[in-house]
Formats: sequence, C-alpha cells, structure tokens
Amino acid sequence: MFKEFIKGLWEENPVWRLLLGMCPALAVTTTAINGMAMGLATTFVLIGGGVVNSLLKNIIPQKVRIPCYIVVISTFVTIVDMVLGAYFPEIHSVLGLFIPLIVVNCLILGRSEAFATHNPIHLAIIDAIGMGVGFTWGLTLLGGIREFFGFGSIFQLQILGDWFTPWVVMILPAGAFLTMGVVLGVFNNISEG
Amino acid sequence: MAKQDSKVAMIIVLTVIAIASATVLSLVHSVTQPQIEAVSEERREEAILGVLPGAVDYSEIEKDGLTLYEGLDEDGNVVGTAIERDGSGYGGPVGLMIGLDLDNNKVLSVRILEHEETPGLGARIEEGWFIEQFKEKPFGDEFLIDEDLEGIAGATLSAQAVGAAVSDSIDRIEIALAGGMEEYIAGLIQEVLPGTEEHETVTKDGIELHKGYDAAGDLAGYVIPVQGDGYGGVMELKVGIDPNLEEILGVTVVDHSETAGIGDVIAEADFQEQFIGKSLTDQFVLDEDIDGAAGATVSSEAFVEAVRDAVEKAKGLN
Amino acid sequence: MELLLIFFGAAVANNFILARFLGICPFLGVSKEVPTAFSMGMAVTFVMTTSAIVAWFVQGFVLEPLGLEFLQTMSFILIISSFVQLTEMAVRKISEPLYKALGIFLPLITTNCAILGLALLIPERGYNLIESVIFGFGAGAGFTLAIVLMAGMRENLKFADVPQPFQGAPMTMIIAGLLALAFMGFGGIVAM
Repeated sequence: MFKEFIKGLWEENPVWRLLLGMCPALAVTTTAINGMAMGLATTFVLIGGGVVNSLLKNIIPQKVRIPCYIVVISTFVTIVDMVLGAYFPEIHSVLGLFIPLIVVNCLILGRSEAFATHNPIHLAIIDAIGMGVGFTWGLTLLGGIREFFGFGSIFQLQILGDWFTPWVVMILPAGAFLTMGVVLGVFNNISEG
Repeated sequence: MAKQDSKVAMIIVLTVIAIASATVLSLVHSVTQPQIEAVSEERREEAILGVLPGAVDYSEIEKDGLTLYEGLDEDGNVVGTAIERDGSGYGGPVGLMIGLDLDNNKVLSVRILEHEETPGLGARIEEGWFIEQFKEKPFGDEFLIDEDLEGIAGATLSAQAVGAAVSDSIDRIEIALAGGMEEYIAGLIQEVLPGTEEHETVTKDGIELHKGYDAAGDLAGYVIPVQGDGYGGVMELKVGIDPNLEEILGVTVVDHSETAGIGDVIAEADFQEQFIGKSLTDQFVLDEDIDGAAGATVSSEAFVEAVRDAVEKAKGLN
Repeated sequence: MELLLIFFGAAVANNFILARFLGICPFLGVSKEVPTAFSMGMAVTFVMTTSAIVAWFVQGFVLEPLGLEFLQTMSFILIISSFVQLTEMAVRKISEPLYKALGIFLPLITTNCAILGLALLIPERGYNLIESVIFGFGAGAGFTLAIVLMAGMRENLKFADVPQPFQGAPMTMIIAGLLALAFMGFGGIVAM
C-alpha cells in the first residue's frame, strides 16, 4: 500500500516521469505559491474523482464509462472553481481559466481509467494522494525556480537583494518551457545515473 | 459485464449520474454564490473608490443604457463619476475603471482591472507613470499615443487601447448625460441658436449643416460645423447664424484638446460671447475684433480661424 | 479592424500553445514530422472554429437564459466531446480522403485543453458570433503555425548530437521556449 503512494512521488511522478498535465504545469507556475495552489486543487479533484469512480466501477456500463467519468470529474472541478471563487478570490483570479481546465488534465482521467476503476477504494485513494502530492511538488518546484530567478524571491519571501536584476524571461511563457526542459533533463540524468 | 451493457442500463446510469451531479452542483452553487458576488462587489467598490479621490462611498446610476458610479465623499457630495469599460488590447480585452470629473470636464484617474497583454511589453500599461499621464487630462483630449500621451516602446497598441477606451468612455458619457445622441446634438444647436425647438440636418453645396426652427415653425437660423487646428489638436466648433445670413447668433466648442488652464479658455463663455452679434462682413482678426487669451494665442487663433471658415461657408449659402 | 486584431491576438500574440499553454499534449506528441503536424493542425483548426460557434450558441441560448452558468464547464466538455465524435462520423461518411487526413486525429482532440479553453474564453470575452468564429479560427491557425514550426525543427534535430538525458521531451521543451521567445517578436508586427 505504501508502494502505491510512493510511486507518485518519483518513479511515476506525473510531471517529471509521465509528462501528464503539462498545460497547467507550464501556465500557472510563475511563483511557487501559484504552483502549489494548482497542485492542491488538482489533488482534490484527483481524490474526489478517484473515490467516486472507484465506487461506481461496478454500476457504470463499460460503453458509457468515459462520459460518466467526465461528468463526475467536472462536478468536482466545478466545486473547486466555485469554492475558490468564493473563499480564495486571489488564487482564483491567478489560476483563472486553468481551474475549469483541470477537467481535461489527462492526469485525472488517466488515473480514473487506469487505476481507480481496477482497484478497491482504499488503494484508489492512496494512488490519488500519491499522484496529487507528486503533481503538487512538481509544480511547486517549477514555480519556485521561476519565482527565484524571475522575482528573486521564494514563496514571496525576498531572498535576493537589490543587486539582483530579475530575469524577466523566467516569468514569461518562454521561461516556463526553458525551465521545464532543463529540469526534465536534469532529472532524467539523476534517475539514470 | 454483458448484462450491464444493455442500452437501458446505459441510459439510466448516465441520467442518474447527470442528475446527481447537477444536484450537488446546485447545492454548492447556492452556498457559494452569495460569497462570490460579495467578492466581486468588494472588488468593484475598491476600484471605484480608487479612481475617485476623496470618495468613501458610491451610488450606481443608469443613464441612457450606461452604468455609472457616482463617488460620494463623507458629506454625501459627488466627487466624481466612474465608468467601467473594456478596451481592445493586443492580447485581448483590457478592463478599465475610469474616474471622471464631470463638473470640470477632466479625467481624475484610471485603473487597469485586468488584461492579457504580453508581460514586459504590453503589460507595462499597468505601470504607474503610464497611468499617471491620464490624470487631469481635459475631456476634449484625443488621448493619442505619442501625441497626447507618452507611449510604451514595443507596445503602442496596448497603450493606445487604454487611450481609446478612455476617450470613447468620455464621448459615451457626454452623449448619455444629454439623454442620447439626438438630444446631445439638439442641445448643442439650442446653445448656438437660442429659441430653437426643432432642427433638421441638410447637406448644401457639400456642406453638412443643421437648420433650426423656433416654436412657431419659422426658420431660426443655420448651424455650421467647422474644425480648427488648435495647439493640442483638432477642435470642433458649431457656429449659429441668423436666418438672413447677417450675423452670428452663437458659437460653441464640441470637442477640443487645448491645455487645461491656458488654451482651454476657448471653451469658456466669456471668450465665446465676443462673437455673438458680429456681422458676417466683419474681418474676424484676433486682437482687433476679438480679444485673444493671454498665453494662448495659438488656441485663440485656431478658434477665430474656424469661425472665419464658418462665415465663408455661410456666405456661400446665399 | 477589430476582427483583424482578434485574429492576430489569438493566432500570434497570445498564441494558444506558446503563450497560453493550451494544447501542450498534442504539441509534444504529434510534432515529430511536418505532414502529420500539419494534418493535426488542420483538424484542430476545424474543431476550434466549429466549437467556437457551438460554445457561443450554448452559452447565449441555453446556459444564460436558464441561469445555469455554473454548469458551463460540464456542458462544454460533454458537448465538445460528443460534437467531435459526430464530426468524425460525418467526415468518414462524406469524404474518405478527408477522413484519412484528419479523421485519426479527431478523437485525440477531445482531451485537447485548447478546445475547452477556447470555448470557456468566448463567453468570458463577450464576443458576438462573428468575433467568436474569427477568434476560434485564429486560435486554430496559431496552433497549426506553432506545431508545424516545431515539427520542422524536430526533423532537423534528428541529426543533432543532443546529450542523452536531454533527448526527447526536455529538448522539445527548450526548443518550445526559444520558439516562445521568438513569438514575442510578434509584439511589434501588428502596429496599426
């Protein structure tokens, strides 16, 4: 059971290993806090969707399973969207369009399809938490790197002094791709070596 | 599994799931909706008070289809009027809150609410120095980048989007306050042809002009629109002439971009009243027939030149 | 003028892939060769333009009159996926060559977040029907441009000596980053 949790952190990490959910990973990671918020929102949907889809796995006819999963997932996504809008308006406006787009995050549908519906509910929860934590730390790291070079801070805590000229490119779209590419390469190297 | 794949089962399961999910969402929606509205209301209030210095409260008013926010100070006096408006930027809409002083016809302050401009280029419209430029600008200003406003290198379009939205909002408000386009023009005509009740717009010898009629239906005079090249840009005038084409009955400025406190004397009644009663045979020379304003020779000259143009056109009507 | 701005805004300035990060999956997956990339781009452009129309009608005539805006995400994703399936069937019936060129990509498009993103952006922007169509078409054209450029570079990359850990996705990301930088240059092109 521990194995199902730990695999999401590194071996099957959704960001670095599976390359799933790349759109939000690149789009909202301008700061560490944004990356983390996106990761947590996705984790919530992963767990909710995983639980419900695992419970319903014997009821749902095979042919209509994908539409059913989509309905369940988009229910959770809409809940996240409304709750964030009501109680965390700042986070809601930064993540913006990418909250409803959690629906089409391949990570979520993929986990429901590949894991939750073939495993008992407690394993589905563990898997969802593992994947969610893996996704969250991936996004937080990306956001942290971009924030550090782009603003000279981490979690809005100013680290570098006035002497530092922020690398504006890091918070531009280009910086997202470049950071992602370099970190991916480094991680490939680590896991092979 | 085979049994479950029957069509009836599929339809039932899908329907049940859809209904269940819609129910859950309606519940969550009814809980969160008031809070979401409160948040957006709070943001709007913050933006409105932000562009109207001195305002502590505001009231919403509807004018001819426009939603305006009147800012009120502690004693309940109106300190300015705010309007929310979307400009068309380079990356998408640029949401603005614009604070205006309708008594003194000038911009109070502008705030960017949201935009999707390129970071480092167009996104610089958010920077203080750019936004500060709008403060105290007269309504007649054309808000053109590189002329009236300093632009942003590499992001002319984003900067112009803000300028255009401000200028457009002012036009809309002016028209709305007059009670619509028709009323707005009727008001201007009455100003230069006292006693006019009705008017019609006609084209004569390629000149577009208005004919004003009094309550009895008799011709009250002609209104000739002309333009002048002022110090700050184009100024638009309307000149009212009596039915016999002998004298000027009134002059007014529709739009100008002269410097506040100097060139904008041309918009003041004292300056404009000098023209009333002048014969069309006059020479209209500045500082001889007409007193110019000190320090505003270019603006005054442009105005007089425009009136001369109107007089020439009027003579051609004979 | 306004329409031209919407088109260029969607196609180059705020390119869906390189500036908005929508549609990264197909961008990474289907950009190995130029012809396939081009077909994918065409399929996406087609679906985007039609989804823009569908989204506009659904928002204006169903969700808003009924006060059901909060069901937006769910209805859009369901409508788009059924719509894509219908299109696939229709294309197969109507033209065999067209199906061969576009058909195999159509199912992939359902989970392309660029389509749902586009559909969600339209009501937010308050576009009218024509503006929506132009916006959808521009977004599709931008997608095609980016994916074809990417494929062209990846074809040449086959002959490059990329360090082993950087082969594949990491290198593609770095190229995409450079491409995104280049696209920033479009910031000046639409000066009117």
